[in-house]
Amino acid sequence: MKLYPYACLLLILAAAGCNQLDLVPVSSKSVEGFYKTETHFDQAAIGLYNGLRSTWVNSEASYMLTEARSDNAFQGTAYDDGPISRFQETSMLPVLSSAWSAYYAGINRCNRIIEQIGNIEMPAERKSQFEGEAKFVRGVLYFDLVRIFGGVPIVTTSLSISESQKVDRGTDEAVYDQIVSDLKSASELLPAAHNAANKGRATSWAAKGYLGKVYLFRSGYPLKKNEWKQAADLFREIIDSGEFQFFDRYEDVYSFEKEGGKQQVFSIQFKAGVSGHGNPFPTRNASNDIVPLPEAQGGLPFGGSPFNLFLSNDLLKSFEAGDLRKDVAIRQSWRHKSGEIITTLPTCRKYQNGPVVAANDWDVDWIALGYTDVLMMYAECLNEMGFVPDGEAFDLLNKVRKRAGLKPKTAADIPDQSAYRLWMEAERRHEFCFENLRWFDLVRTDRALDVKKKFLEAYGMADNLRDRNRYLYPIPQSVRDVTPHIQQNPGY
Amino acid sequence: MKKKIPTRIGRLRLRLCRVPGSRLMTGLICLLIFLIPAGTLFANVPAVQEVAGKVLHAKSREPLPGVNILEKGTSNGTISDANGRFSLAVSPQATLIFSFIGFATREVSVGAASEVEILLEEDVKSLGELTVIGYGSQKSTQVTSAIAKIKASDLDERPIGRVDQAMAGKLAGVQVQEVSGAPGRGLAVKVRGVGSVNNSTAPLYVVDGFPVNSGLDNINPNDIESIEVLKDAASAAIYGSRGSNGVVLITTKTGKTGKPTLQLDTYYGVQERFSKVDVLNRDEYIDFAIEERNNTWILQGGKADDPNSVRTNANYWIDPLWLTNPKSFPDHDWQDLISRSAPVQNYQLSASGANDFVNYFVSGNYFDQKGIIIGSDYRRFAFRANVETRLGRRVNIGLNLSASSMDRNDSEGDSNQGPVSRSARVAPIVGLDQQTQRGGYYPYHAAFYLNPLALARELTNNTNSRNIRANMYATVKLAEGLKFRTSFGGDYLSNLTQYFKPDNINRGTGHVGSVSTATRDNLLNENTLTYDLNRGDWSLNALGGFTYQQDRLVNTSLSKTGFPDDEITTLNMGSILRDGSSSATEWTLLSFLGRVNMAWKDKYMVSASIRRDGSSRFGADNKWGWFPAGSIGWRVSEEPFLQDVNAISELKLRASYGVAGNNNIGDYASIGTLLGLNYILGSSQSVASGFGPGSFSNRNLGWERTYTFDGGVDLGLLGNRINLALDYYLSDTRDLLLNVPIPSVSGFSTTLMNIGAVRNAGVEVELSTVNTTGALKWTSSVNLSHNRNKVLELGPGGAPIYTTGDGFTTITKIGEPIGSYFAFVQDGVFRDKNELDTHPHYRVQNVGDIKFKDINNDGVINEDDRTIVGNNNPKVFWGMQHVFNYRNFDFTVFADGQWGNKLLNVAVGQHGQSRGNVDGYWRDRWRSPEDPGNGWVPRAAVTANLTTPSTFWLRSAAFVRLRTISLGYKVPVPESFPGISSARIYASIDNVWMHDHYNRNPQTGSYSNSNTRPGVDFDATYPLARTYTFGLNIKF
Repeated sequence: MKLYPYACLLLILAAAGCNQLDLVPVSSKSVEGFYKTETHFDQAAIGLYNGLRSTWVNSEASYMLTEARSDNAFQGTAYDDGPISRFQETSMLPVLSSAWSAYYAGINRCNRIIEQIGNIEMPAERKSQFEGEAKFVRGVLYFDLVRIFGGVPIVTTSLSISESQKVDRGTDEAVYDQIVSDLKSASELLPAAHNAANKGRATSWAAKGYLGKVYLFRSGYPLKKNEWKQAADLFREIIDSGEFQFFDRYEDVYSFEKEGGKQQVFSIQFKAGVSGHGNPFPTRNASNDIVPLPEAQGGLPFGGSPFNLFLSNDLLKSFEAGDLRKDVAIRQSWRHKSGEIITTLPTCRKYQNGPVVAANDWDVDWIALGYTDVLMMYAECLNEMGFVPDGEAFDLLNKVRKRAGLKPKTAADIPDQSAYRLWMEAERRHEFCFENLRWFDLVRTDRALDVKKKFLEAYGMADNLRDRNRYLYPIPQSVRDVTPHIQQNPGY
Repeated sequence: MKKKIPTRIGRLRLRLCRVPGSRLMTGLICLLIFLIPAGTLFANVPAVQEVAGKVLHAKSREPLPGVNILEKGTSNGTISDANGRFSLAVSPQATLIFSFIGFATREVSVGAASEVEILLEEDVKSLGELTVIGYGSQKSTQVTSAIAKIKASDLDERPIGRVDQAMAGKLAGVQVQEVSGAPGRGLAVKVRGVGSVNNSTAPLYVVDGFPVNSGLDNINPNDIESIEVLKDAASAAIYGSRGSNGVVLITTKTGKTGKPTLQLDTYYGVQERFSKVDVLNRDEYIDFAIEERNNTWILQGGKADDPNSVRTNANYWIDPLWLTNPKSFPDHDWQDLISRSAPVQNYQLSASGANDFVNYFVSGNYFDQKGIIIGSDYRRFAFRANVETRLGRRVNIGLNLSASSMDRNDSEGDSNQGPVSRSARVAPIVGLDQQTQRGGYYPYHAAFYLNPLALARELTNNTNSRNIRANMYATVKLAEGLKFRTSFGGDYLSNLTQYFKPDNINRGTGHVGSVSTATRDNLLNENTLTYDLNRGDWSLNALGGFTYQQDRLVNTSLSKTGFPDDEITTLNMGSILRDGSSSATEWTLLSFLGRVNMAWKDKYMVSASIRRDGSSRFGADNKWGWFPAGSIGWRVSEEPFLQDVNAISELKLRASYGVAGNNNIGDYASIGTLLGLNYILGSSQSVASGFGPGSFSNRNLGWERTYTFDGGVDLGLLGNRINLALDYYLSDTRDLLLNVPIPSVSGFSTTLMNIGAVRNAGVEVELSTVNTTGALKWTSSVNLSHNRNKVLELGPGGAPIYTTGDGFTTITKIGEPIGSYFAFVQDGVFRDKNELDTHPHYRVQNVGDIKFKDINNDGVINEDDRTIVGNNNPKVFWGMQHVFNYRNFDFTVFADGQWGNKLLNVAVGQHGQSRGNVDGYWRDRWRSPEDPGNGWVPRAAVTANLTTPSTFWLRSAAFVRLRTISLGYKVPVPESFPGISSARIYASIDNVWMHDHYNRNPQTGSYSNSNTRPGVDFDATYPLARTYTFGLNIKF
């Protein structure tokens, strides 16, 4: 039949057309066209740090869900952290849902790298670096989530919409298992150091530091697994590496000149004057009413913000006389816009140094995991593994006290393991105030109920905190709107 | 005489050769054909009578060339010549049969006459015999879906610059909104309401079978033979994922059998400004300004007699001359100053013809319209060639080719900072050269209200578009009734926009120049098989095929500043590159389609069609969609029981149901985009580029689907002197594309999804009547459309969508029309202290301010008292035309209108400020309890009253307009001009009269006309023009 060749031709044309239906955007990068080259994975990994930066420093959730919940601050009612300070939050609180979304957005980015990296040829060390970075970031994000919300959904692959609608909560244990597995794997995959161009990316030391921290937390409330040894071994490895250094002066730890130095295991990088890459922490934590003048004139360049931490009297009183850390961490007196010198409303002073180009645009890096923290966590592990009067745990903590200008303590002051715990608690509070560590420390030691109840008593609000259910935040209502099968945390 | 015989043989042979299905039959019959005429010639020896005569068009009395003339009962015949003349030798008392396509066949007994004049009547039924449908045509009597139609002859009576203008007011269910009067600017065409929240509702335009993406600009209306609008899903579903907004099929002219025709169509017109905003004159303005500035200053805590020196802001200052010598100021009517009477001219030369081997239509067109606002004009050169040739007995090859070049100068008449807006805002007392950089600024006036004359004259904003559209096709007859058609074509569009704003009208920020281009390449391949079968009472038409279309659009733009002066405006003179960019976007569409039309005895009709579309725009898991449709029809008038009812000449009942889609979802909406996630890295701390997924790839994302039921009646009464078409439709669009919340464990909180529904339901009436026949023939046609738009479902939870801009909110809410105006309701003004004290206030209010209605009666006026206060969808729109023919004269009156809708001027929020001129309604303002004005306009003072969106911002969009009157005269062509076969001259006036409520611009939407925010003006709609036209059509 004569038609036959024509029919064939038509079929060929039709088949050619079928392939033509899969188009990707020409002028914008698309998910479909991404994760195809080594460069893409490098870009994807860099994107992860951008996410960590916004989650840990730039976002409101970074301090609202942590420092504002602790006894270091008591926030005004203008913003979402008001109810958080008062233990009055409900699942409707917007910051909860924005935090939830931000964490999972970050996790999704990690999942995609881990999922796709096997498909692409690239040098083995690059591959292991990118995969290690993704696992590191996923580990630390879940570490936050499990401490904020408890047993959250464990998502380790990229999900379709219908899959995402079926996901249910995991248990605390399962989430921690995931974290440990990710960080363990990251500590093996990541290099110990990066070249000059890549300085600032996570190293195997960062992964080990966080892994130790996770063991430490897992040994505390609520899981109370006895993993002090695992934690101590990791911290010991970091200490013995010689890569890090205990600075002689407390204020040097936070100074711009020393940023990225040996005092830190992992930091969030900032740069002033490059749109969107400046550190907002210093501006945010100064009073909204501070005069925008250099510090020498009692002000702060470009002023402060209404989102500053309102420091609690409890914190201010808790400093021992002569503690050098107090003046480094806290601005006790400042010049009001009206010209008046204010001494009754102290604010956070950490990181308020170095170049600044505009409000919220400071150059100084922000330390996520400090070496001091590693040392102190190590000391804590030693104490938990067995109290040794005036042993290594004492030496380490006294090193910190000495730097703070305080007299060392001895077994005479600290007679037993539990006394040491309280000592550690107090030193950590002063050493790391406003670094978003306090609330989680109180929860893992199960001291939060006592400490915060007593704290709220001063405001006549002790009844707001009845039980340990408040150690976790409620699952955001928006989450339960779209996925009603996700159970609310008890007590909400 | 003898020379005619071969012609006859040729014709017959042609006709008969088509019949056989096999080669053998063809050969046999062809042989027979050579034999028959020979036999006839020998048989026709006896007594012969010579008959000569002329065949004329019964109405126009134009000669009809090419009419078939046959002696009854024989094969003796001839055709009329170019002058309609014929002569034929016949047997005595013979009867001649005159037949011609489109005309009723006549049998005339010649008797003994040797000279006859034959008048052929156009066949009313066969005139609309074929209706163009998607991928084919259909006998009009058998059409069972809702198709509206305009013929070329309907476009003749008035000058039309664009295709969308041709449709305005002519078709039921097709709303053509004149959003602006700017030359060359497109109008908003909506077929049966708005069926989408976020996506375009423009219909699909198909030119000679080519679905075009390059807009309507480049289609020369003079080339159009007919426009068919497929309104229901049953007719539009054959266009699948592009059919839900309706499909406009534009068919251009082809050659007609007979003598080649050369036609010249030309007109020249003069346009005058028709729309004008009523504003205050000098004395009224000064009076208003003093009142407003004092009142406003008092609101700041001042006193009316405070001198300027203590008034803290120039907005409260009063020019001392206003008080001492107001007459020293000029009294400029800025709107008149920027307007002009502007010519419009059109020249079209076309040649066409057809014979057995070639059919051709070629045309060249020049259209030139100067705008009635200085600095605006539009020019188009357009060329077309439609050629089809026959190769052998089975194959025809043709080409539709058009090329056009459009030049448009636009002084930004529709911009809210352009000359039209400023001509209403700049005070009459401002000097002719003031409010520019060179002329300085009047200190008691807002500086940003720039001089409208300078704006109109000095801005360069020229767009040049070039379009070439070529579609080559071949049809192959495979067997009797079975035809294969394949086509390949391209549609190429390039736009170049050159823009230059000199410092003089840029408030001292320097000269700015920019250039942008858009280049579109669109390729189409279509392959169809059609099968026609007529057997006994049955007729069947089947269609199957597949098509492939792809489109690529590339945009570039460059912008520079730092020009030394404004002498040279090209970018080479600029020294600072401000912006430079290019981008591209693509789509492809692969489709399979099929349709069966069946009829029995021309009485019962069934039609079913299906299309399967695969589109690059849809999500990976949803690439392909089905679009089925079906319709049935019953011509009751063909039933025996109606045969005796003489009054009813035609009665057809139709019903259809189908699914069509809207794929205007953006080229890559289903594909997740990447977010820039840069970070600081390295010892030197520099920016490293990072990316991460920014939106969900929705692998299921698809088109919006419209399910339409259409029921209709076609009724012809009194020998089709009265024709009525009535349609009811219910059209539900589902799977609306909305942004909805999803579980954020997916990494994203919202995504575009197909969710939600909207309903359009309406009634359409088309009535045409022949009122009188005889010497004075009067025909009328009326169309009337009613549509109700209602949102049925929205995203999860059904939360309404609020769209806010310039302080005014529109709402898209379940149970209400899309984009309803949402505001406070004005309840007059506070006339006195008592009224102020007894009625709740919105924030701080004083006597003379706008009184807002306490909608929820809670004794407080707050945001909860906002309510839905109207929408932009007309309840009814209509058009009406009367045509009178008397001897050689024809006279046409055309009117249109709409009612039941509102429009919004968001600039009202800024009105009432004497920093510039204000609208005329301020004359009737509240001045004191004793002089309360008209009870609607508040006092002159700048307060939150005006910036609070209320019904005070809305106007009725209802209007009635006498659109066109036109008078034509067919010039009798003396025999001494043998070349000319007919000539017509005509004169017409467009936009004769209008009654409306918005400055004769009631269809505005120049500022925003999106689905969720329709019919919005910002003091800046390019005015409509009244056009006086004189035209000439000559056929050679």
